[in-house]
Amino acid sequence: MKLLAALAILALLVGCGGVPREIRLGVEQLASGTDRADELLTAQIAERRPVIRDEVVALVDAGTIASVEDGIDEIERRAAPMTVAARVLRTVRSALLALERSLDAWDAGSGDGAFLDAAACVVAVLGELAGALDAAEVELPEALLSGAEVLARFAGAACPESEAANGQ
Amino acid sequence: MASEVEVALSLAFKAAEFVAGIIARFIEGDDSAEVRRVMDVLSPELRADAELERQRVQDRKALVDALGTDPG
Repeated sequence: MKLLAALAILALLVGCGGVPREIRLGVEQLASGTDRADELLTAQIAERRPVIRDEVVALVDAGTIASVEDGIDEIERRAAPMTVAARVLRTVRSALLALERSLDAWDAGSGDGAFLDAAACVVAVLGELAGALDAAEVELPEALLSGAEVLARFAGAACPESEAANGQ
Repeated sequence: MASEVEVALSLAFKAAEFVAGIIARFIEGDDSAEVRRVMDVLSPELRADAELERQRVQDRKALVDALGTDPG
């Protein structure tokens, strides 16, 4: 019985060819971490935005702001870290989709080339997300951290898209 | 007789129409149990976007109230 259990654990660790299981688990952590980040950001928007709104309405009452559009601009300016974090989260989701497609291609026998590039892009955008969440005063989910650590060990040297953008 | 694909498309359209209506109600400030129940099963990404739009609607309403002007 113990031997069977040990063999089962070994099979889980080694995997059955194709994409290493550790990478699959890392990508799953990143997906759930991204969901969690969205939940935390939603809660922050729901809590913080009304406070900012009240601050700006106080400026209207004081005569500092005289139009609805100016008031909206001021609210958006003060809430910008949360809006930026939401935008970066969308970029992370898109990069994760590309990463998952590259894993499927790897499993189908295309090799790990596309994965190495896609993983480097995810790692790059995760760095941006960490900064954006910090600026929005949103905690970085643990699953994102652990998923990023796994991916960083396997990722290629640089994201081709970033290199193309830097070369322009 | 409608094919299975046609039936599926029809149901999908009805579901999308229903969810869109719920999201619109949420954005307009509806906090009813029905709206919350449906919002809770949507993706975290969609909920974040809806929450941001809901706050924007409330921003405009608050500013219009404070300034006493029509947003146009």
